[in-house]
Amino acid sequence: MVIENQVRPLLEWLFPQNITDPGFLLSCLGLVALLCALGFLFGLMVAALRHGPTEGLNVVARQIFDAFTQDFPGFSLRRTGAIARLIVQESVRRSALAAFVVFMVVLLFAGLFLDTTNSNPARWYLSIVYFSINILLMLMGLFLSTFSLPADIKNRTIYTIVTKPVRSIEIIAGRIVGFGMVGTAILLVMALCSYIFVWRGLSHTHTVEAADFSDVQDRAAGGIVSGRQAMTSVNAHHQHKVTIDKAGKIVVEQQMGHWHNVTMSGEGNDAQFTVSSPIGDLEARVPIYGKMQFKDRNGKPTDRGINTGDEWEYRSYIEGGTASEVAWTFSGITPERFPDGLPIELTIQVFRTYKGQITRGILGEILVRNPDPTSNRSSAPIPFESREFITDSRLIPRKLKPLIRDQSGAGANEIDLFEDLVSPDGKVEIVLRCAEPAQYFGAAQSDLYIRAADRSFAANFLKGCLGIWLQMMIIICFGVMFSTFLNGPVAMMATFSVMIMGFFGNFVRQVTTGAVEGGGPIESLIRIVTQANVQVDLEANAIVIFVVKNLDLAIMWTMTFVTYFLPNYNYFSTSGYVENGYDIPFNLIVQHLLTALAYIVCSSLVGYFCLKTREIAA
Amino acid sequence: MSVETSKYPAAGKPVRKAGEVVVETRSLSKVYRDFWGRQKVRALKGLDLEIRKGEIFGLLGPNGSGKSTTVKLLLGLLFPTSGQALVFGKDATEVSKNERIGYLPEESYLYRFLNADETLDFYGRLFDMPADVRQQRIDSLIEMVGLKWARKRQLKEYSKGMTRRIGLAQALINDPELLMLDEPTSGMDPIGTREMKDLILKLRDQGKTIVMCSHLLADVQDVCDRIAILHQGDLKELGRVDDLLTVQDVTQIRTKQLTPAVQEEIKALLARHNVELLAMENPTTSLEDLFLKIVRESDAKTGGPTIST
Repeated sequence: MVIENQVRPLLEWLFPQNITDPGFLLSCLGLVALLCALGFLFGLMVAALRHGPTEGLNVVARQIFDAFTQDFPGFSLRRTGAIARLIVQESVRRSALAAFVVFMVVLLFAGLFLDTTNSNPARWYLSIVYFSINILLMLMGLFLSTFSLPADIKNRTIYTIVTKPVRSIEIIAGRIVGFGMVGTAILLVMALCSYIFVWRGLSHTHTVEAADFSDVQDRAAGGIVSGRQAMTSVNAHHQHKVTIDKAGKIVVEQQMGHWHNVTMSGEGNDAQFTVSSPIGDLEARVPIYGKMQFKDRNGKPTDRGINTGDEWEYRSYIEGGTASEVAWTFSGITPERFPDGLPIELTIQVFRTYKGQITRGILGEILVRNPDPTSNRSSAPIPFESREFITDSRLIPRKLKPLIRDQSGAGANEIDLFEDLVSPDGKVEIVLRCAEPAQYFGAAQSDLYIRAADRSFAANFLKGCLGIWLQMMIIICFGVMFSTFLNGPVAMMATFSVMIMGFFGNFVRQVTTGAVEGGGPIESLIRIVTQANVQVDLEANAIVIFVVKNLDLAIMWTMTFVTYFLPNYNYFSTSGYVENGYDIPFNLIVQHLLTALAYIVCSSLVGYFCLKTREIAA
Repeated sequence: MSVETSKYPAAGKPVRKAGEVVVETRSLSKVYRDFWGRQKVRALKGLDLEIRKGEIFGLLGPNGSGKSTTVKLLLGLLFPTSGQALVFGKDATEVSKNERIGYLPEESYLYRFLNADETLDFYGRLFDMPADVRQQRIDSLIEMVGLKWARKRQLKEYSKGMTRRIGLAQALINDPELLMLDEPTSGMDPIGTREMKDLILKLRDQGKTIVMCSHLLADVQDVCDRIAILHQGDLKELGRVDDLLTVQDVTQIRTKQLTPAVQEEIKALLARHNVELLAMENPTTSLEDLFLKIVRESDAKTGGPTIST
């Protein structure tokens, strides 16, 4: 399993790259400017209706002037803190902790329904806990943030606050901070419980006895004994194959996404084996991705490989037994960074045009090449057998066989990775080829990477929670914003709609642009009622179709326009990284933080102006 | 509420010098509208008022007369439809004026899950008060309103009178110059009412300006220097209480130990001067005074708390 979308470098993401990619900063400023203009026009319209055009303009101008001359400069942390503290007390007394209780119930019963025979139980466990935390925290944020302020206004407790020198911005900020604190505390406790749940759920060991081992004969070498082999006991629905080679090195086969360290004490039949806890199931790998380049069957560079008819166009394919290849160029490769060689991880998809020997993988080869055009040096192909649906870890050693033998003398059969294959600017090319004719390897940008380091899984788990936290904070901000001018249930519905639009904004845009068929909401409704599928023309007279299509178009374009202002909650989800054992990049965290901050600031400002211009006692 | 003893002036009140204007309304009007902007009710019609520093000003009127609307406009809880409301010379919608204001709402709209200490601490923080000053102020206010014994109890366990007391304490947390009291004695027993009125007078003596609205006429008469009577949003009467209540063509003489013989002589004298005698009788005390006297005597016997008068 790989992460499909590459994380862009921070500066590239932040600043404009070209006319079609204005960067986050410029896009954000543009949207904020548009929002301000729309807000100003709306405010002016309402004020003009109440006071007439001239006085209306005066009122709006005064509100903006007050905001920048009095309210923002007069912002007090102590007042904001007091309101936040009150909100925490209120939330605790309004049973916000119920979310935590529900979560504990989910954890208690999750064990009964979890598929423990899954090929990667760690991913399964992690996805369950992240999903539960995410849903519960978002619902908690939704309910707490939308009902609190309307309840204060209804009960008139707000009277004793707004008659104190409290700015509207402090009321908004205090509420956001207060709910955020409650949510953060619950999230941290949930994260701790989840971590223990996952760790305990995956923790197991096996036993293996000396008597279980039998000799392994190497048929290729004429049947001589090459080592001994045994199967461990079956625990947690699986067992591992343990092989001891002639040199006494113990290798444990990977199963269900992990393996164990096996240590032997004693000799022969008296040998005792100790099997460690699982290794490799809860990890945070740091990958270095390269730049990918395909070559067609004639060896000419091409943008993409062959399409084998897969609807998911993420991967494209190279043909076996031809000059077709895919190469990844990596930068920053130094011997100090990788003293033992290059640890690579490879995930490839195989497309067979004939079945062949189905129990065996397709043969392929890996070459290490110097990207410097003046060097023209390459390692000899390193053969391998494809392993589908799992990540194949390999170490490219420092000393390799050359593709063309050097006739000059000593060391002719060996080249050094860093001296011969890494260019002076620290680049190296790793090439993948399919060796069997008429079979194909599918590859994508993230399918081959150098595993640069491993970070703490616990820290990565917490980073995954940060994505959930950001989603919760955005919901809280929108909830508070809507509650400044709507009553509790309506504010909740509005915030919930924003959530839905945020989750399915991409789908709305695809429908609008025609990428997804089915028409707008009215046409869809007609099709559902008349049981007309999307492939047939709508059966109605021309005028009705004209009206429906144009109404749909207006609705869809409005919705599309709105989706650009609403947060895409999927964007903030980083649990996939943790579930698949990848470290969440710092770059990505900063990008998410900045994006969330933009939403938090914008929604707070809208909430501030709404509350400031509201007659509290009306 | 243990406050300094003060007797209500039996006749007339000390005339105060006209100080600076603390509250001013100019043609203040308020129209309540429905969602569609249609006029529902005209709550206030062109109110012109001036309330000066150091006076107790009463807003009187039946329900729906516009007195609460006036207070809400002065506090910035409502925006005027036309006209202006100024407090300390600033527009009533300006937040900075609230630094110098204390407000006791009609119902004590406080957070019922907080206790007295937490409530005052919360409101103290809203005034950006440093922790030590805040704590000192909380202690003295809790002492003043007589809730020391219940300071750790949540407000939801408080009686209505206790809630009014803590409401008053929160209104005084910032030692305000202007105090807005909406029905300050509502829900209080006679002892609490007397103590509240004493406290209002004491605060006035400290130089604070007090605006109170009430429909308990006796309370207003007891404490207010000036009153405005509102009816259906119109200002019907405005002036000093003693001026408004004085009956100019009737003279009242109060003496002690007047014998029947002297009474007859006075009647004869009045007859000689052709003066109509309206009444010559022994006055009755007020029910409030009688009640307080009984409770005070009972307390003195049982050693209970002494009511200050």
